[in-house]
Amino acid sequence: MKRLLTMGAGLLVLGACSQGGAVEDRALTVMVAASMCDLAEAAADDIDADVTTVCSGSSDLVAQINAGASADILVTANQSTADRIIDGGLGTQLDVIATNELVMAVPAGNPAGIIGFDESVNGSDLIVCAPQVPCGEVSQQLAAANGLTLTPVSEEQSVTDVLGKITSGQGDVGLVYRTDANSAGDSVETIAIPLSEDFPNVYPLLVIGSSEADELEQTWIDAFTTGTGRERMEAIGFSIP
Amino acid sequence: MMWRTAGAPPRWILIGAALAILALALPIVGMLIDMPWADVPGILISDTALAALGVSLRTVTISTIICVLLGVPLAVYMSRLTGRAAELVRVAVTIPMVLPPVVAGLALLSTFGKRKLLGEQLSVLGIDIAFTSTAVVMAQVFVAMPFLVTSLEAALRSNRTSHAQIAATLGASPTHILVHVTLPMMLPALVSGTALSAARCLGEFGATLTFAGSLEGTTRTIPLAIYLQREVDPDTALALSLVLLVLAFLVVSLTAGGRRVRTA
Repeated sequence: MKRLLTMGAGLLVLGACSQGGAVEDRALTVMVAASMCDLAEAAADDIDADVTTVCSGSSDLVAQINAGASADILVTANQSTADRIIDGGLGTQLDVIATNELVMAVPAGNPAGIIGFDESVNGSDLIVCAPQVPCGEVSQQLAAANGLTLTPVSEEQSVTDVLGKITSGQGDVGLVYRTDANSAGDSVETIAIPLSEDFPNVYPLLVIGSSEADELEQTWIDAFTTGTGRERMEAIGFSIP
Repeated sequence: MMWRTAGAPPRWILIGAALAILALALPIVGMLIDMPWADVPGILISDTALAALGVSLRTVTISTIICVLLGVPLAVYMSRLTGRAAELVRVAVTIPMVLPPVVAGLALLSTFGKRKLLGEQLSVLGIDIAFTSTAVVMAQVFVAMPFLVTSLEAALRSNRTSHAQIAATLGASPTHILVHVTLPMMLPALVSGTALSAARCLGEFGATLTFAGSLEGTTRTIPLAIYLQREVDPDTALALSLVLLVLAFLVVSLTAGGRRVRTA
């Protein structure tokens, strides 16, 4: 019976939290897109709170929340997945906390001698995301903005598939996001693409089940997006708006 | 109902058997119900579908011919081997069959990749494999040939008749015996083995994606097109799946036909 009462009290406390009140011993669940997983775990270590970090692909996370998984904060890797939560009335977007842009990734040593985003990429084994998937759509827009029609030798399902073809040396140049290229370490080199900042990939941050961050949520958000957290994001290639 | 061999089975067998049939048939029924039947003809004559069909039919035809041309000699050779050597060769031949396809793709990439062992040498000779239909064919042959070899070899081994020996005593050359005596007897096994490997070629996915890439009209086979369309256009993915389902049905009928001839 005593245990039941404690549980009841716990539920009351949780209820109070969602009203905006801060409670010391509350646990926080943050769901973040896979590309930000390490950053989120580092932020959780920096604050004095019980934080559970859940990492997965953005659409997976959204599906989990739609299926009733409890979460306090959600960070997705694009706007369209975040919109599914907003449209469903399950959460509120506070801000776009970071952006990521396309770069050219070439195998270490740049064997095909790529120097710029011009016809030379079409003359080599160019790998892009298929136009049907978001990264491929952005690749085409960016090429058009640069007056270029891409003639790839392979159109992949995801950025990681593109990157795989470059790290293995099979492709000569691939269009990937800067953070993905950086995550491949020394096996690839990156070359910037003109106008890429006009076609950013955005990372919206949402609070789930409320319209504003409570004190505990704000503590994590600050640890994640300001000070050391911000430096960590910039270090792996995110741009902070 | 007639029970051909061991008489009527115990009744409880029926429960397991019925559940097994459900587990195997239900997903297929579900897919047929989900199929956008009215749109299927339109989807199948779309550029996307025709391109994928074209790539698949071209590569599968070439791969199957290669499987037969290389697999039959290997099966004949293996069936004459005995002892340890036979075991070793059999393991080597079976491994590509049981490997996860993505591992098969990595193995091909490590060997024939543009900047790897053989790939680099071939590139110097002007033979570019990367991102061509050649890469698709290599992936298909690698995973599919073992099906032909193992089924034909098993049939050759279990064929303990003395026709070949009699032909030899009558003065026939080894080649003559193989072509006119042994292989004709093996025709049903050859047909079903060929059909099985063609089916495996047709369904090849992981190795192709890893090794050959995915480009419409060049390397994007039906399974790769299904994989890409499944998120953006599930109807097209389903219609293309129907094509594979029909082809699978034909292949299984063909192998069943081969088996009937053999047991007759």
